[in-house]
Amino acid sequence: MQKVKRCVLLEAQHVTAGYGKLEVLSDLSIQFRPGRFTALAGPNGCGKSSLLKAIMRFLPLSKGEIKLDGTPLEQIGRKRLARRIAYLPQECFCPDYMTLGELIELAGHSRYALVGGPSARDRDLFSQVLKTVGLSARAGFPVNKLSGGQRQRAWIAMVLAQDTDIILMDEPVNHLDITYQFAVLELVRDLVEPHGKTVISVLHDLNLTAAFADEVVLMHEGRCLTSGTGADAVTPQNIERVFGLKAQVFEKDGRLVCFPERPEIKVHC
Amino acid sequence: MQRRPVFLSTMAFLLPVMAGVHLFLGFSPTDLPQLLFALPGSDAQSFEEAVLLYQRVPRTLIALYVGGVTAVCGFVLQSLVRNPLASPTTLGVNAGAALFLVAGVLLFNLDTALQGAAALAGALSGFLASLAVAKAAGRQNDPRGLSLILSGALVAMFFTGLTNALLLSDPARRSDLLSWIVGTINHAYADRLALFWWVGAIAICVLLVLARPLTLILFGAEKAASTGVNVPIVSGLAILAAVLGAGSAVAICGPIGFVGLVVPHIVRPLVGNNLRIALPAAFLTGAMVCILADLVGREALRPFSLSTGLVTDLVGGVVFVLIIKRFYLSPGAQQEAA
Amino acid sequence: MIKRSTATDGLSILRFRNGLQIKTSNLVAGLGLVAATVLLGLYSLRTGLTETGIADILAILSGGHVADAKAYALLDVRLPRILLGFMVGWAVALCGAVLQSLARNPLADPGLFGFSQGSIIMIMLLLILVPLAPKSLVALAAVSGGLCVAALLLWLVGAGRSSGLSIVLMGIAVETVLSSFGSLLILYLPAETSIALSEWLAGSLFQANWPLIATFLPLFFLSLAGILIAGRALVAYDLGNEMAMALGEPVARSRLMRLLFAVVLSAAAVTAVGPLMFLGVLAPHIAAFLSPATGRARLVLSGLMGGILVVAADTLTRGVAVGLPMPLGLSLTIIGVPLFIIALRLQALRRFQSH
Repeated sequence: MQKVKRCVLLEAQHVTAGYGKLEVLSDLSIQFRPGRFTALAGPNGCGKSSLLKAIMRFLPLSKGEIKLDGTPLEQIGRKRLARRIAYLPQECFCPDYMTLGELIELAGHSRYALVGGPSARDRDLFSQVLKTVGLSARAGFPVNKLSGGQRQRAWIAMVLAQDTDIILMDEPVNHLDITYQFAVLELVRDLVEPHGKTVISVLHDLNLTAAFADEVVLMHEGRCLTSGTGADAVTPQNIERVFGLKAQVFEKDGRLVCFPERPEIKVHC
Repeated sequence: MQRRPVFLSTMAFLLPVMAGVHLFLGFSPTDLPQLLFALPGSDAQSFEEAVLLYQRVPRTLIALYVGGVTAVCGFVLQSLVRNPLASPTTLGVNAGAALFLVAGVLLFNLDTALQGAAALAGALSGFLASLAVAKAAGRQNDPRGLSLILSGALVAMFFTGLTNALLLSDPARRSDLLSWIVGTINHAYADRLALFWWVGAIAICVLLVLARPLTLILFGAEKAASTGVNVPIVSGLAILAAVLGAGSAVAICGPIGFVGLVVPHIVRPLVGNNLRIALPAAFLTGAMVCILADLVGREALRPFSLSTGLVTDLVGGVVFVLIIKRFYLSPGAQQEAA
Repeated sequence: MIKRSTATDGLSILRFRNGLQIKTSNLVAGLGLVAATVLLGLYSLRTGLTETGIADILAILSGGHVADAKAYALLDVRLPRILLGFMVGWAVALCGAVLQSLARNPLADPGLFGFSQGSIIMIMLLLILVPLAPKSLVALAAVSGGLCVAALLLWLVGAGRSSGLSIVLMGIAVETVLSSFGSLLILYLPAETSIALSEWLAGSLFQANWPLIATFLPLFFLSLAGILIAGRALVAYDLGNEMAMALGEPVARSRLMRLLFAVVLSAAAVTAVGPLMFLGVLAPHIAAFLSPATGRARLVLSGLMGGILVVAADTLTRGVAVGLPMPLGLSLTIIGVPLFIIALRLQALRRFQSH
């Protein structure tokens, strides 16, 4: 994987979008700087996944626009978009017949000629990607037969194989146990640091967010409340504003720890 | 749920009115009192009375039976399959019954009584074939039983093709059966009604008896089992009753589509899912819809008359589209799928 | 130019200079099916009322002299039927495979979408109004009927964001309404027209002749081009609409193209032979059982299987069931359904064993 030299700027301006009558993004404006790991955090339903979907043009915008390198996204065709942005959805569906190798080869879809296939360079990339996620031995396995952790790494491998400079991830470590969570996030950090990719990821766990992300964006009811480094954004005041929860935030061994107090929420039946 | 008694009594009131219109529309008003008195008897003193007794009354009775039974069976099928598109038409029941009956007539020269048996066997086979295809196509991530609908449609298409091929092989008898196969309510089928009405009656009785355990199953199979309901037996018996009941309707006047699909959707929002009340409501509404369809077919395009089955297919198809739109294409449903 | 190699998942493939990859297993299956087609074709040439032997066939093929009756049987009746039958089977099976990937459902079929019905109704209306319409007009009617249904489906289902399943469901609804409309026409037409239409509805290669084949041939080659160009995208679609878009597929636009492709294929087949029910599901499934392929390979194998099934059905009609009025649709059913059931059962067994 070559070092990325382009200057990438992804920017949303006054974006409003929703499903029918339900509005999920309200007048949202945000800028994503290149070469950083940005985490989107916030309560359920605040629009984190929807923002990613809007960037991928899965969710049509009713107002505002999103620009990549200054060009509005609508003007960029699907193929060109696929060469710049890769997307890892929350729920990945794979047909039963598909092997890991086939999945990886699909990643280069936007690069292949009309009646062509993976080039030698592509094939080198694929074997390297498989080595990075540690699944080289499993290349011939059907994806659905892999274990949960392996499957998640398989999808991450596919996203890497797409060889783009921007990667969007929607809750990539949700179903993984704690070792895998760290392993995957370390992998993502490796993408950003030496390789200079831009990663935007929705993460639920505030501690992981603060530990791994360069920038944390807290979202609330369809708009961005605040953004900044981990230490700046994850503060007790912000947590209370966004989640309605009192929490303590302190440092331990140089890492930020977010410690919510027991909620006094009475669950209304 | 105060709508329930209102709805039921409205239906119970409207049905005889509709039946009356169906019986008496077309006669001159001066004849009416005399005709009314002629009803209980079976001797016709005049041409009008003959028309009434030998044509209209059988038609009304057939329409009542077929509409009511098909609607009840459709309601049960929709509840058990847990899919708003389930019905005797869409699950291959009607097509199977039609195929077996036609095969019985053309290949084995069965008499009317045995034809009915053939239709019942066919109804069951059609349903089982749909189940088999759905299972074989093996869709694991299929939460709403949709593959059953698809396989039912495939099986129905396939059986209909076979039926058409069979009809072609015997051009002489083809024209007789042709009008039956689109679903025609004809007084000539009164003898069939007399032979098969008890099948539907038994089916409905069985379903009414099973109404309470069935309602429990609807709200959750595990919960029902924990209250002592034998889920597999009750479900199996109910499906058997529904399929055979629908088959008996086909045996009488051919496959009348969509009544079993549409009526449950009319009834359910007004009456709820409690089968003990919903089933009679479905019967009344189905009977009314069928009588209405027959009336429209008879009177709307005078002097031509359109088969009831064609009317229900055309109108029912449009309603089918609306049901799909509401359940599968509304933004809420799309977000579920997304 | 062509190299033997292994794909990323370790399966052996043939790789071309521009990167095109063909799995060896698929290639073997494909060649096997082609061989089976040729053998079946030769056997089919021999069957029929007129006695012909291998010598006659060889003589005809090498330009030698053969008795008139035999030449007629071979050249004017059987060979056209076999060739047309193969192309029609190919077209319908291809259509089914494309629709299945479009709907992401293994039970999708051109009949189920209502395309066949739309074509049929248009043709029926045309034949009622213009009984002696030329074949090209009939074909036009078929295509326009299919396109109307496609347009209706797209309008009913809405923008390209809905799932493939909704298209199939709408297709069922439209198909039922059209089918009853068709029954109406058949019911109220005079007997001879009604019977003629019904016979055509049951499928028949009766009108196979060389001009018809000449008209169909361009479509056949067009379908080959279509497979080559659009085939690979099908694998991306198997991951779902969103992932396909994420991988660079312009879903809304190409969905339309694929729908059109399927409509034209189906309409052409219906014009030539009448509707062949179920073949669109049958052939791809049996082919998938023989060799589980994806993308272009799946399309090619399905098409070959479809061609084989129709030629086999035609052989049955002509040879074994002489004297019995067995329409093509019926013999197709007799051959196809047991194969379908066997294939499904064996597939389930395979799945069960591999767990």
